[in-house]
Amino acid sequence: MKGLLVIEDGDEYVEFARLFLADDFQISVARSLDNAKARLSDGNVDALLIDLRFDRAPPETLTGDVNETAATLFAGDLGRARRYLEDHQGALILAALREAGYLQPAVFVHDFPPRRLRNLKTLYGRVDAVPTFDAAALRRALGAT
Amino acid sequence: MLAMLGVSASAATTPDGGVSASYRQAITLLAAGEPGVRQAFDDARRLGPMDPALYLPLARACRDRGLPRAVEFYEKYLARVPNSAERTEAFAELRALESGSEFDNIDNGVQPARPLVAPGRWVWLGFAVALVALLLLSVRMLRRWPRRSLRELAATAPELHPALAYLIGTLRHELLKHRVGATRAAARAVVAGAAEAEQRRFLVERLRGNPPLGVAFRAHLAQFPRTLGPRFDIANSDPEMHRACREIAVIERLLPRVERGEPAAAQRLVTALDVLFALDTTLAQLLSELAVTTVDHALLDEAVQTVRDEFASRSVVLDEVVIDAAIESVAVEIFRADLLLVLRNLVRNALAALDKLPAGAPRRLGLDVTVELLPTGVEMVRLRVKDTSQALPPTERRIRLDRGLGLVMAALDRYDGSLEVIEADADGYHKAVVLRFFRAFGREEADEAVSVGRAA
Repeated sequence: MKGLLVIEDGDEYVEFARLFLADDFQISVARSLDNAKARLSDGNVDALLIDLRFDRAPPETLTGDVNETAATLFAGDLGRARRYLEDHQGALILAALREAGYLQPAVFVHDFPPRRLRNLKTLYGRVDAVPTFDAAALRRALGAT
Repeated sequence: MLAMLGVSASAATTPDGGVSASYRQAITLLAAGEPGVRQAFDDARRLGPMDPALYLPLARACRDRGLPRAVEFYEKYLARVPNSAERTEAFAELRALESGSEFDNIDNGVQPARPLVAPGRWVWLGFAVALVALLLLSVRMLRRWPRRSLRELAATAPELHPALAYLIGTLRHELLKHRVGATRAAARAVVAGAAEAEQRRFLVERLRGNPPLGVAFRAHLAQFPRTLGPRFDIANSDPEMHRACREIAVIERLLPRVERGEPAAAQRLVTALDVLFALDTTLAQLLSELAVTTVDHALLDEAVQTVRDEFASRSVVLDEVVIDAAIESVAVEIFRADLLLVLRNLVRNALAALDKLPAGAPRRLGLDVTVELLPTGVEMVRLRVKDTSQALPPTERRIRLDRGLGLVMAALDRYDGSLEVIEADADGYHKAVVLRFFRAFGREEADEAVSVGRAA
């Protein structure tokens, strides 16, 4: 059976996956980039299901440098930089995973504007998005057989 | 019958010629219930006014036909024919009509009146009371009635769009996506009778939740007036939010039955969830329509030209103004008038700085736009206003911004933009002020779709 790594800051994705995708995937979960890298290094991960927004994660577990983000994007505003890192954390984790050599297809449950999804595909290859928690659409996007 | 009414054949011959005869004819028709009564009265009225003595037979005819105007005609008769021999009789008949008792008339030998629809004054009083009640009810309903939709409210306040976008985004993410969005598959499984106990539990727990769905939804809606002002009381003013509140109440009532796996309850649940999904779609659409401005050569040129036309700037002689024409058209989330205000301020400051340069020093002004793709897939748009005036030491840059561009900074804060003074670039400019905004995807894509549609 294929392995699916769910990366999120809560329980919603993994709970849904265990109830509706467990026939097709063996589910594991990670709450941060480091956690995800550890699961991936264990092997048996064929696809990634990633939450985009990590607004419940402890700040110290967020990927991305808040000071650098503040300096380069927000003229030094740390509050806005932190919010930016939270709001886009899933994409930043995916960026770091790709950099570390993990190329599994990644799926977001998010209604990205088409241009932004194109950008993510340009940057990270096999990336897809499903607008809502639709089990059938997720199975297709994750490449369930 | 006609004698009782006081209309007799002999009375037809009167000094006023045919006028009274015509009225009598009309009254006779009325008393007999014959057709053409209105026409007969109209014909008589054209000949002349009615003899007040005829109010009595007219009142009696009306009384016998059960018409409420009988009271009015009796009163007119008593008022206008004070010395009539029939006055006492007429008065008794009127009293009987007003008391509504048929038996009062028996002793007087008067034909009992048929009951009228309602005695005159009481009818009017009742009507007035009903009208006031209706008015009060209407006011109450109007106060509760949905007034302005979120879309309409948003159109009136473009400066609030970034905050609005954040609130809508949070509502969609935390409630519509995480709590409601995940339940559709489970609800359909219950409808099909294929849901396992664990899936039913998931469905009910997600919808019941902590805090309960209705409480969470109302809490999200309460954020709108709290953040954007009392006009944004969308829980009461937006029809779709209103409907969503009702459907959430339905969902909460259905949950015990859904938990037991009743397909009919699950079917109704799916209908209610569809309403919430429709709301999500509306909100997504609205997000793509919030205030955006296309940044292009024309906009930058307008900013420069407007400032050059100002009296104080007209005297500043420049060697060169370069507006980077190679930029692509790009949309940013800010109202056009506000972006122009910001740009004009920056151009004005640049011209003032260039004006202070010693004679012979190059006086060049440049504006350009760059777009950078960030690792998150979003794009950062940078608008630069560059000039050849003296560069500021890094320690002074922030102070100058806070002192000199307070209004600009305030405007940018509202639109999630930022501003920074940087050093010269390779083109020979000594300093540049950089405006940063995130690219707005929605509007451009909508425009693209429209232009593709037109081309097709």
